[in-house]
Amino acid sequence: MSASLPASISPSGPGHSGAVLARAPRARLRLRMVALPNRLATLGAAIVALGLVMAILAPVLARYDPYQIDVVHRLQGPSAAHWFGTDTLGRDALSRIIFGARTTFEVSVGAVILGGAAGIPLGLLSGYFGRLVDATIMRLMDAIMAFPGLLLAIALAASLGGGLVSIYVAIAVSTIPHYARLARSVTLTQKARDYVSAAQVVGESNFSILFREIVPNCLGPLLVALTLDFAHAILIESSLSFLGLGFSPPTASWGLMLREVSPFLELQPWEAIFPGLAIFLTIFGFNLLGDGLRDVFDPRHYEL
Amino acid sequence: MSTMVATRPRLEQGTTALQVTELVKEFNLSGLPWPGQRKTVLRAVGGVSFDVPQGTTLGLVGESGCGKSTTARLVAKLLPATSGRVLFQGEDILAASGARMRSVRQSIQMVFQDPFSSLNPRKRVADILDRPLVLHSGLSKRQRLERSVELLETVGLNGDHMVRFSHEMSGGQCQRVAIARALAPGPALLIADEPLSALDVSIQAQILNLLVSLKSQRQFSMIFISHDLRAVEYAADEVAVMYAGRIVEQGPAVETFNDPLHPYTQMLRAAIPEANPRADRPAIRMQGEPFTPINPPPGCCFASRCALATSECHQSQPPLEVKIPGRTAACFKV
Repeated sequence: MSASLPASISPSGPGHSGAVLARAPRARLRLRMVALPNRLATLGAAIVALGLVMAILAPVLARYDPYQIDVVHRLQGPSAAHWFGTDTLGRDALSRIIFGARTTFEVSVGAVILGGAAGIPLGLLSGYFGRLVDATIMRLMDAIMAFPGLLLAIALAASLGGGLVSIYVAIAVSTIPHYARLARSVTLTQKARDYVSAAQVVGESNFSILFREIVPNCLGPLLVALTLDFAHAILIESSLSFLGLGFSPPTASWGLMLREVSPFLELQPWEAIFPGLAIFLTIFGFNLLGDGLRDVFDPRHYEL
Repeated sequence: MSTMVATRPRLEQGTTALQVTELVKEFNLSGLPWPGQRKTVLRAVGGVSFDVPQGTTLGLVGESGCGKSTTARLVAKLLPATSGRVLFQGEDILAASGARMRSVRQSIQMVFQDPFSSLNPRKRVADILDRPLVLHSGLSKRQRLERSVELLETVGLNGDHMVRFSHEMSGGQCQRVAIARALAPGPALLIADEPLSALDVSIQAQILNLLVSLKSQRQFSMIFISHDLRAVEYAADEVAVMYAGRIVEQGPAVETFNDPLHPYTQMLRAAIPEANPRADRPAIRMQGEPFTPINPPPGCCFASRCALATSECHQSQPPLEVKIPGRTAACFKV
């Protein structure tokens, strides 16, 4: 049997080929090094995936219409018919949490994309061109950062009126400086490296140097920042809705659910615990995932 | 190979490839202008002039921070110069427009100090070598691929290296790829900015020999920067010794190191370890403070460390003048 095999793939020792032997110790070492953060990151990814499945399959998963009012059975605790109980208007809390995942993911994805799409290019330009461009953009970012993030979001949401768009804008604007500063710092780090000078010497254009050479080397830290900012966006959305500046009733939103049951906390604490837990778990999941990603990318090349 | 070099007009032997006149680079350390602000200037290069005749190698030597790399970056137009003139094949490239500069880029290439940092960590060797060919050669994709492999073979690598990333190669291999990239557009001037100092000693000799043999094969001119006098003596025809942003001595490489004129060159020469431990050689002791390039005092830049310095040296800057036919030095005492 082995005589018919070409020399390159025939076993060189009992049961092992040379290539496998050479590769094995390295792979094991790498696994051990990333094992712990990876396990937590996997948990985070699982939580996020669960939330995402809930959001996508909401109509299938929910047993009740989240908007169907049943005043007779209001503020009931968990039961066989209503696992998470019912809210102030008798709506099924579990169904509302499942549909709330939709709202949450819509808002966080939208706001992070909007904030990243505005902040990251600003930071790239600032870091790459430096001088007046840098000074102008960064002073503008400093001006935004002078306001505490949540306060700025509240002020923006209040002045724009409620609704999806104003929530997007409120969250995005308050996170733009974060992206811009991070993108600027990773760009500065990369720009100082000789491969950028080499690209200039070869005759590449600024556009080409920025997007072909620098940006691919900045993706790691930026991806981590984006992941962590999903958590941030969810927290701001919940806070805004809780304060009555985000979604208006009867939308199924976790923050809004908290707001609606807050007067009845002593009467029926369950109805505050479940949406609170949903918010907490989702944020926790995104944070774990972000931290795990940060450990996967070389941590020496950037700071958050 | 010859087709690559033949695409650009070749200048006759004996003409000047590069002529640098009174090149100055000052870095403004005070940031953006602001009313009432005190201006702090770092003078990295303070009026450097030299010629590189076609087909020859000029060695630039000096200690860390003396302005040799800044000079290289000014000539390659990686930095804007504060003042001065750089004539490349008779054309002032400091004044050249963006479009004109792009074609000049083809003819001036550079090899950097740190071979790992000078290759993009996210690109394979094939992609790294492809870009200069895309920009300057006008070849088809297939021809560029063949040319890339040829280039790798020229620098002592082979086609197997095409798929590697920089972290999959040794420092010497990376530096060879960097040299191949610099050769790709068919340059008339190669600037090698400390190409050896990041490499193991055993690899240094290989890379040095590679550069010297490529230069004689392809007949480009070279600026070879190093703080290793022996490497410069081996590679360079002419040598310019820099200190504190100025050239303090210039002349043929072998003579300059065998019989240095300027006290600083003598000091550098004395710092080379001697192979024979019994060799009787006077030691030159270092004294004084290194020069500070921020708001420099008047007088000779080396005066604070020079054993021969007198009050004259602290008051005025000695001009770079001919001391022996073919050799210049900037010192009152020689």
